[in-house]
Amino acid sequence: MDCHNFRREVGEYPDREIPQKEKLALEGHAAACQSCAAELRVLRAMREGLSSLPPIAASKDFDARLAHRLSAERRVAAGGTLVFPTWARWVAVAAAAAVVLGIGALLLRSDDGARRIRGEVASGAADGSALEVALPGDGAPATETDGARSGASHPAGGADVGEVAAADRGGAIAGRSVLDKFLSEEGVVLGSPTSERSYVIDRPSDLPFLLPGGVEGEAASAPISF
Amino acid sequence: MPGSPEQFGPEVSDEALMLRYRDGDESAFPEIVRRYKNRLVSTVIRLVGDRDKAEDVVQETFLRVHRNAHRYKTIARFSTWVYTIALNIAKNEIRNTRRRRTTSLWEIGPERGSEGAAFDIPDDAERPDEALERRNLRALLERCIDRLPPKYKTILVLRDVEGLSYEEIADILKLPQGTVKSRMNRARLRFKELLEPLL
Repeated sequence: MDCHNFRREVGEYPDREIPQKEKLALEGHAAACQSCAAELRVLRAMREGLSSLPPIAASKDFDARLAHRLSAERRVAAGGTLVFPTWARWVAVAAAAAVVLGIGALLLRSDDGARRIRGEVASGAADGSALEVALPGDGAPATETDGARSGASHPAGGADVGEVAAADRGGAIAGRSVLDKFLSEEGVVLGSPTSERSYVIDRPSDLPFLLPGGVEGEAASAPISF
Repeated sequence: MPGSPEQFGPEVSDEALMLRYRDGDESAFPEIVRRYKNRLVSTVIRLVGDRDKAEDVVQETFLRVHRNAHRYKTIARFSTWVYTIALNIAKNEIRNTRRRRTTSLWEIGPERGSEGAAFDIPDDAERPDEALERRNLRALLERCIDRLPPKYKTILVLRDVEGLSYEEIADILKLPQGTVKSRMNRARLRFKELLEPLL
C-alpha cells in the first residue's frame, strides 16, 4: 500500500467492521510511514472523541409541551373545536358567500323566471339568538315554522336555534334540493324538519352570513336578500 | 402524557412498545418518548444547530409517530422508522430556514434548561485542567461537526456520535451501504481537515 491508497482508505479505519485484511494493510503502511502514522492517530482520536460526546438532553419542559400538542391533536381528531386564524375565517366566509351567490343565481335561473328566492331576517334576530329565514316560492313570503317566530326560542333547540323555512310551493323543489345540498356541504348541522319544508339549524353560527351583520352579529335593520 | 414510563423495563423492546401503543395502550407512548427524546434531540440539534428548532423537530417527530401509529408494522426497526421521520423533518427545517441560527451549538451548555447531563458529565476524579481540556476538545469537535457540509454531517453524526450501524444508516437515508461507507470515509477526512488546524 502506498500513501495515496492509504489516504483513500484510512477513513474506514475507525470502524470496527473494517475487514481484517484492509486493517492490517493500513497498519502495515503506517508502521513504515511517519506522516501516515500521524494521520491514523488523529483519526483514532477523532473517532474516540466523537463517540464520547455526551448526549444533549431535551429541555425540562419538553414532555409538557409535547403533551399539550398531543392533547390538542387528539381534541381535533375527536371533532372538537379547531381554532382558525382570523384571516382564515374571513376567507371561509367569503368563499361561503360566493357559493350562496352562485346558488342564488342558479335558482333564479332555474325557477321559471317568476319565482324569487329571498331570505328575510326579522327584526327580532338582531341578537343572533334566533334566526328565521324565509325562502318564499311564489308570491308573498310565507314561513312554515311550526309557530316558531324570530326572537323566540324553538322548542327543539332553545334560544340558540335558527330556522330556515323553505316555503316553496310547487315548482321550487329544485331550489330546495340545492339548498339541502349546500347546507350539508357547508357542514350545517340540521335537526329534525319542523314541517314538510322547514329545518332547524342547530348551530346558526355555521352560517354566519345569514346572521344580521355577518359574523359580528350586529343588528340588521333591513331584510337581507340573496 | 398519561402513563408511567417506569412500568416498562428494558426487556420490552421499542417495537413491542410501539405495537402496544398502536393497539391502544396509551401508557406506552411516554416510554417511547423517554427512550428517544434525548437521542433525537442530540442528533437533530447537531444537524440544525439550534436548540429550539431541534426540539420542535423532535416534537413533530413524536406527533407523527402518534398520528401514524395505526400504520406501524414491525417490518423495520422502530429506531430506523423514528430516525427517518426526524431526519426528514430536520432536512425540511434546514431547507426552510437557511440556517437563521440564534445559538451556536458549541455555546449550548447545561444552563439552557436541559435536564440531566446535558453537555458535560462531571468526573470527580478528573483534575480541573484535564476537565478544561476535555471541555475544550468537545467544543472543538462540535464546532467541526457544525462546519461540515450537511450530507457529511448527517452521516458522521449518525455513525460516529450516535453509533448507528451502516445498515441502519443506509435504511434511514435510503442509500446503498456502499455509498454510505464511501461517504463516511470522505466525511471523516473532511472532518480531520477541519479539526487539525484547530488543535
